Amino acid sequence: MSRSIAIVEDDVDQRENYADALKAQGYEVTVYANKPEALAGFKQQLPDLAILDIMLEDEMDGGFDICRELRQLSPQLPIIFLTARNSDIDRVSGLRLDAWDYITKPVNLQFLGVRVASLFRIASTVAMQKEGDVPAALQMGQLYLDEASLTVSWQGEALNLTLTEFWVVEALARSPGTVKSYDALMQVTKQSYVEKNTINGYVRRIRKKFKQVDSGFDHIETVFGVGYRWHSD
Amino acid sequence: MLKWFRYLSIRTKLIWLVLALFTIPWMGNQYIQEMKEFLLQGQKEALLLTAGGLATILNDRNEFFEQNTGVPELLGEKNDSFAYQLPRLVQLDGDSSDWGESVLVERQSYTKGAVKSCGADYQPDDFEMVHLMGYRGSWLYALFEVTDQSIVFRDRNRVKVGYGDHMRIIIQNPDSSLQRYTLVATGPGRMSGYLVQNDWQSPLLGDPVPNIVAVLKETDRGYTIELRLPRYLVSEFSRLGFTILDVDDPDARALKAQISTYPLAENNEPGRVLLTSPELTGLVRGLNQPNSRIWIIDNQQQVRAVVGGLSPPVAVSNKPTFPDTFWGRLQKKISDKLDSVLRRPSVQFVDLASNTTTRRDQMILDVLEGAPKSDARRSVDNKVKIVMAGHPIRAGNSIMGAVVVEQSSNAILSRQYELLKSLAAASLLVFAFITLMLVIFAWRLTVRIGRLRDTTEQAITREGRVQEGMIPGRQYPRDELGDLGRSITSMLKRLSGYTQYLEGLPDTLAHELNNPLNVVSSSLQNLEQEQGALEGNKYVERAKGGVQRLRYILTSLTEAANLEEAMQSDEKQQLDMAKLLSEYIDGARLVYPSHRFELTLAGPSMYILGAGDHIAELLDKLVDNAVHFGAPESVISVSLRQVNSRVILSVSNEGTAVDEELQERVFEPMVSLGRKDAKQSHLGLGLYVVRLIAEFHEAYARMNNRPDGSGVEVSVSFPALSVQL
Repeated sequence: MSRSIAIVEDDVDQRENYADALKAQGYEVTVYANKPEALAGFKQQLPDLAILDIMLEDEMDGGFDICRELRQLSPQLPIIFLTARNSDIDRVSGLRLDAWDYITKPVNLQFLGVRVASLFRIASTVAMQKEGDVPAALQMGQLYLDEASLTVSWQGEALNLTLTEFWVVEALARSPGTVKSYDALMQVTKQSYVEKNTINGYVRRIRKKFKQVDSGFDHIETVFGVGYRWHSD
Repeated sequence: MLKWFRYLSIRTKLIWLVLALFTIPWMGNQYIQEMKEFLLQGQKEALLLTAGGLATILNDRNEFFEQNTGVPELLGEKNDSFAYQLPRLVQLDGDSSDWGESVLVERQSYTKGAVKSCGADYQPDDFEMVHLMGYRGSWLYALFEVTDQSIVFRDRNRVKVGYGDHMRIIIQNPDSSLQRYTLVATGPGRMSGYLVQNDWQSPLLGDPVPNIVAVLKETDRGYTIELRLPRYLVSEFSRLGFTILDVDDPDARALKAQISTYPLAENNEPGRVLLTSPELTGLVRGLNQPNSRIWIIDNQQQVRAVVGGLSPPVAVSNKPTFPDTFWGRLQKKISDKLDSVLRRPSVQFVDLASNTTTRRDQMILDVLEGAPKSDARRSVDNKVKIVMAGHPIRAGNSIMGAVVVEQSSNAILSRQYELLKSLAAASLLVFAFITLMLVIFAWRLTVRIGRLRDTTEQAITREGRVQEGMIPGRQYPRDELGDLGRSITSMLKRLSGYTQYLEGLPDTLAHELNNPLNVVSSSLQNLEQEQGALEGNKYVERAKGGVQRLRYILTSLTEAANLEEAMQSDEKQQLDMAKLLSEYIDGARLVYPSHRFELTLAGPSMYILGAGDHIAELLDKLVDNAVHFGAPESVISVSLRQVNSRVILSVSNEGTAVDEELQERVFEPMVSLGRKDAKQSHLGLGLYVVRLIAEFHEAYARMNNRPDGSGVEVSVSFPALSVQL
């Protein structure tokens, strides 16, 4: 049985394009144009994954409201925000609502597929963990990377990273001592077009999350003008 | 006309206004002068009234003005000025040395100006008399130093006296009867005095009178006579006159010349009335007022009586007393200062002597014509002004004489002086106060204007951006300047709102464009997916390229807004710019292999307070700018130096120079330096981002052409952080 994806997007063209692309990858896609429709649909049938736009018709934060409702219905449901709003405040708001990823438009449909697949993988790992089947994990110094569940721990404490942030940390940590250029990191984020500043923003947020656990964290070094480098000690 | 006034600062204008206030004391002075004239006029009128009153009393009192009333008054009141108290009794020996130096200086010469008679061949040196009178005890002394080339003594053979050099004495008794004495000498030594008849030559008694003692002594120039007579001979109302007569020819013994202490009539009779009548004086004395002098003058302009004196004037030396407080001391200081600056009226002055015999002032002549008149004249020493008023004294239809009342204007001048002084003192204090107030006001005004200017300037950055937080929001006073402040605040707020709208416009625009772009982009991707044959199709590729460029534009548009938002939550920390820059340029050499980077660091480390990521982003923009606008393969010079308290970062590239006007505007959003190729979009947001990051670091960015015009340099000046190592 194919996995079901719900797309809540008020722009009919974009909605249909996303649906077509995901259907082509074998998913079962349900589309909703606004909050009432979506909430009504979710009450009848919960999807396996939800892609939400934030601005829905005349509701500025319609997507956030739906996210809250969904969390009440299912705490483990993977939710992706796909929005044109790329401000830090919106990102933080979205992630606070336990969204699994926050992608800004325009999006490369291919990358969207990759992300959806990754999230389904994480979801099944989490489900497996619950059943007690713990897969192998990777320990790199104080960093603990669980590639299967796509979770990161530092000094034994789990960090609440988004998918993109996980990929950035993974890319840096996998080649310690080597500079990861902005171009390389742009590829890692799997977004269609990323500015240097966007990468800086990701790293900034990652550092903050590490520092919440370890205030002396300084393993991600800025190589000004080039990129970032992970150093083990 | 007052064009120049517009070029003055407010402070200078206020100083001019303060100076204009000086017209007030000037007006005060004018007023005081007017008042002085008015008071003088009043004084004249008062004196005129007095004179009129006196004249009324004297009208028809002919006895005071009779020709034969009185003879020269030498004793009594008048004597004071003629007979001097001698320091000791005088030895009658013809030697004047025992008279005392202080008295001898008072000797009067009767050659010049004295009344005398002489022949046509008279030479001043031939015959001269120096005369002095003194008294001691009950004696009256007289000294005569006579210049006479040939002395002719008495001829003993003649019974009559006076045929030789001799002296005549005339005494007028209070009852107007006359006594005549002739003193003769047969040789040096004791002289003989005879009471004589009217002809001066026939002695009434055979023997000389014993109470008049005189001694003659010959001298080089002539002879000296010392004379002593008892004071009872000449009582208070008696008059006394002396005459020295000269005979040069011992044979003919004719009178050659004579010199007298009183005017001589042709018949050698005692002169007519020349000085005051004692009765008149007594009458007028009772009418005299303090500080005034009354003259009674007959119609020959001769003085009949003088009463009173002009000095001392009204006391002006009564210095006001000041309380011993700060203000009191200040007032005293000012008063003393003014005393030395203003002209205090003279306390002492010299005027006509009381023995003046005639008055020939034009006013008196006019009064004697019959018209009461007042006038003013200067005192003899020209120190004070004397006000005088005259009124004719009538006897029937004729005018007998005039009453002249004089008073010095010292009282008025003193009053004027005191007024002037208090006006000056008050003006000075008021001026000091007003000036102080105006200076404080002007200072306050300029400070307020300056502060308004400063806060307004601070609210707008060098780039013309309104800083919301710097808009002055304080309460202004409710005056015009406060209104100006409020309207500037309101204007800045509106401007700020508009600026925010403009700055937010790209973001809004980008957001709105994002959705249709996303439709195009996702449609293209789906098209390719569905129609496998279209993969690599040139039109599809071009469409994708176009979409890519549109995305770049949209990302750039939102970048600035995102950056500002991101910076709000970022913290600055101590940053070594030298280290950061050298690392950055190492990276840039890898990223831009087509260009050569030259790095100049003025020191091993220069610290600022900053956010490394943003500084790197700023460098990205500067280097990107230099790479795009610099010639290929050219050198990009990057330098870092510290000037005083600023750390200055410069990035310079070769290329075309930029207009000065554009240099100012290039840091504004959507202002581009131009485009080199159509495929590369230049929204003119790169340097705007530089500006935003510079502002975040309290720095400012500037663009200049290289001095030789070979390229452009962008420099950012950061405030330096002094680091304690």
